[in-house]
Amino acid sequence: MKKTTCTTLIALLLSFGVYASGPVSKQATLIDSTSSSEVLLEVTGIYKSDERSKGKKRKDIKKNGVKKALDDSRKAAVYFLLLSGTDPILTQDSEKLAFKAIEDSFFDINTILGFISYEDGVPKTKVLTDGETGIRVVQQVKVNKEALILDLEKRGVLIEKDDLLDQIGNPFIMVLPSVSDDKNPLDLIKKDANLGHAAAVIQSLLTARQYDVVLPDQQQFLNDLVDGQLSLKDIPTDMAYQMALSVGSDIYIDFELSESDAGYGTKRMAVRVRAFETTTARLLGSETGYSEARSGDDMVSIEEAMLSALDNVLARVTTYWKKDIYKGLQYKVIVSIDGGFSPNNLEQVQDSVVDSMSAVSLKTKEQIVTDQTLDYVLWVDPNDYPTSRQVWRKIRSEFRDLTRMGEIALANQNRKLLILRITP
Amino acid sequence: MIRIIIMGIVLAVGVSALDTDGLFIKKTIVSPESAWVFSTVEENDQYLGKKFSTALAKKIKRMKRFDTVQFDSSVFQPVYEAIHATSTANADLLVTALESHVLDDVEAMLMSNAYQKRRVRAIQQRRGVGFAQTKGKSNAYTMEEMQILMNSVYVYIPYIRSADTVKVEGENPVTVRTITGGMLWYNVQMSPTGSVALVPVQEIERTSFMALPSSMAIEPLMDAGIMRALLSKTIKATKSMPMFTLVSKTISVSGRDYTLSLTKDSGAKLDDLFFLQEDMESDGGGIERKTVGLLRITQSSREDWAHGYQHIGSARDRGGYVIESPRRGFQLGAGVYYAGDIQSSRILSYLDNDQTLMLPFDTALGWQASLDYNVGRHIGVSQLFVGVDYSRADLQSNSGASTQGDNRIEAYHTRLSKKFWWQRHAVRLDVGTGTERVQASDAVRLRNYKLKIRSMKYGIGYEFMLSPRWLFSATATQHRMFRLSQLSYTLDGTAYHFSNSDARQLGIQYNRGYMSYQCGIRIDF
Repeated sequence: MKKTTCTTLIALLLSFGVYASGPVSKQATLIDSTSSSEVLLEVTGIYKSDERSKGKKRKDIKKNGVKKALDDSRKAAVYFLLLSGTDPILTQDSEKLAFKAIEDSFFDINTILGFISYEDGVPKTKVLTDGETGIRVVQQVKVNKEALILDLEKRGVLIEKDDLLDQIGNPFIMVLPSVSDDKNPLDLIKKDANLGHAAAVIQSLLTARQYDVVLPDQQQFLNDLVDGQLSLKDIPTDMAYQMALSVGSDIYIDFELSESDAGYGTKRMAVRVRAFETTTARLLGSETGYSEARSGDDMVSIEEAMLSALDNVLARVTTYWKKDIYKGLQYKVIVSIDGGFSPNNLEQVQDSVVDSMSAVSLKTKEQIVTDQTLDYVLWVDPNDYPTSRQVWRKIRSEFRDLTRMGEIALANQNRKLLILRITP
Repeated sequence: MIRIIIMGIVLAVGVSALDTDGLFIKKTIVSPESAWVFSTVEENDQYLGKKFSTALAKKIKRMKRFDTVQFDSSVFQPVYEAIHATSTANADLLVTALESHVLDDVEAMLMSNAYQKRRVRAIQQRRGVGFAQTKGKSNAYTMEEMQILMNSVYVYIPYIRSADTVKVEGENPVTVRTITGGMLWYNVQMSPTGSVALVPVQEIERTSFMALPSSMAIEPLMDAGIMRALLSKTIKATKSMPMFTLVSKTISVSGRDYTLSLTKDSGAKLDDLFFLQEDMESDGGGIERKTVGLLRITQSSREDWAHGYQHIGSARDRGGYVIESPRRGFQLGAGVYYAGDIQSSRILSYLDNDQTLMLPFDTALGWQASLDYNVGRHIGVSQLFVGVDYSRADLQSNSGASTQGDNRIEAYHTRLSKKFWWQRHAVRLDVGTGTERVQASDAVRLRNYKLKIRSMKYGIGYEFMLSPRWLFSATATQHRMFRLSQLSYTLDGTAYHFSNSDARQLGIQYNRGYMSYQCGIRIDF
């Protein structure tokens, strides 16, 4: 009995020793996105000696204070990326809950060191506190954010990116500068080296993170090629298809560059980056980024500003996609009702199409309803209806079951945009 | 003058705040070729201005902590003409003349590509590892760096305020020559919009003097010595200015050995002393920087970081600060002197091969003074000193025999010393050579005894660092005769005189001597 009690006690004590705790400090500032996978942070680490006497505390701080405070600062860096700041990695409650279960073992210093790709090793500042029985250090560390995310995916805290993209339909992304109506963005990219460089930076980061990227000039080439091939075969031009092609991709990332004088002949570059869903016009993320004011090296400044904005934009896009998994993928449905229905019949037809849309979706939002047009946003479970075509088929079958007063047909299906037509 | 001082204090604080993290950044010094000699200085002393400015320019150019620029002499010439044209020239007039004639050239230098490229290493030495530095490989100046670059030029004007000679008449007339001079420092500041201003920073004034017996007082030679001392004092004060003081961080520690983020290129030299400082939170919640130790540079190279050894204070971890404590390399000591078992008295025991009376002195008690200079830092040998010792002790009889008159032993030695430190403690090894004089005026039958010998000495000592400037010193030294210079005495009314060559007849045994023990205090400055 006594032996069992002792063994149990030892096991319990060991378990406390194995798990490290989170950071004391939790203070960090994002300085720079240094590459597509790494971020540079300025972090604070705190250590207070837990020795008994003041003399021993001071001795402990002199001997071990810097090392332990630096360890705390590394944990604070990872903690900041996970849970703090404007765009933490863990956004969903389920993710935070999953992380809580592994938090103690995760913050073991050996695990944390695996994510630190660089640090100076010498504190930028070091302050002795509480009568030299505590210490606070500040240092800069570079954290491999992508490695951190991959690790959490493997631990099951985060959904894997491939799974996420699969569930939301493997969107294609196109990058274009923000232009006024009378200008061609492709021409602008070719003529303006700064815009071309900015686009290249975004494409570089997207491909590094294995997103599907569509090049606008290559897309245009393909469109012309297809059109040419079809006309060679005397196949009539499909205007609806031409119009749909003009959309380009599922998601657009557009950007704007500007520069300002910052004194001593230096220039500061500013970028505005937006990501939106083309067929629903839904803004997925928007962020601004700024470079250091610098004399010369415009390309470096552009990339510096772009990296600082882009990381946040993509983080927000990912957050929206995660929400979409739970709330449902958004579809925009425009229903055009031809004339020829009596008022009573029209109402019945409208009700039927609304009920059909409700049947296929988790939630609907009525945008506009007129005698001739219904404009709706649907949230559809991708597990039930993975493609737009399946959404349309469900709406059609429901409508046919609900009423015989009109014929419903698909006028145009373009990514997440469904244009339906109801005729008498 | 008060306005300059007040502005200097305010601006020295403000300008030093421009330094990144408060750490040292190499400054550009525009070095003039002439000095402002005040109208009160006599005509035949006017040459002191040129002498002082040339020596200063040469010294500042050699100092690695500065990036020195010398403009064409025609740039500063109008400035000197303006201030020497009137007998009421003052600091305001000097500033106006500098702004009119020198500022444009400084501005042109600041905006030149060649200057900006040359200063890249000094200004960008503490860049981080952000995108621009790593993938971007950018050497372009950021706004913050441009601000530092555009405000890191300093101009100085050396001056001679007075040069006086005073003859003190009396039995032994003495000539005292005093020269007062200094430097006026100005900072060239450029605003973000490009406007340039010259801002007074600090005035350094020092006085040096020399006093010699009038028979030996040759003014040009005195001036040479005084100017050297004036130069040394002025340079030391310059090093103490906040913007020129070396401040660095400790980047690694092993025991009491520290690695500092300073290279020889920044001016850190062997045996330079630095205060070790740490930031501490005060009771009010603010941050205070406190001195927690003293360390000395033990290794310094152009490309590698400097290493230091901590003497005072408990060992600390990396991340603290070190701030230079400029010294001129001298140590002045004084203390008690005791000599025992003096065997020089045995010389008389061989007169005419007959044994005669010996001097009844065995010991001596008195005082000693020494002046050491650390030459080792110039030749790469740490803690190697050249020193001069003087001791004067009254001869004493242990046998109880009565003695009258002035009986003493004086010694002048030059010495080479090497110290070996462990924390605050040092062992010192000495070797030296010099002259000793024994004098006994009335000792029984012996009168007017004067003995002068050449001797060498070797010894071992102990030093303890009481504080960053004060040391306790105790040494035991063996003195050995190796040549007789002079011996004269009156014995039973008969006068005797022996020179060096007569020593053999006396049958003097060389390689005899005595032990001396010194104990005292030294100050390092």
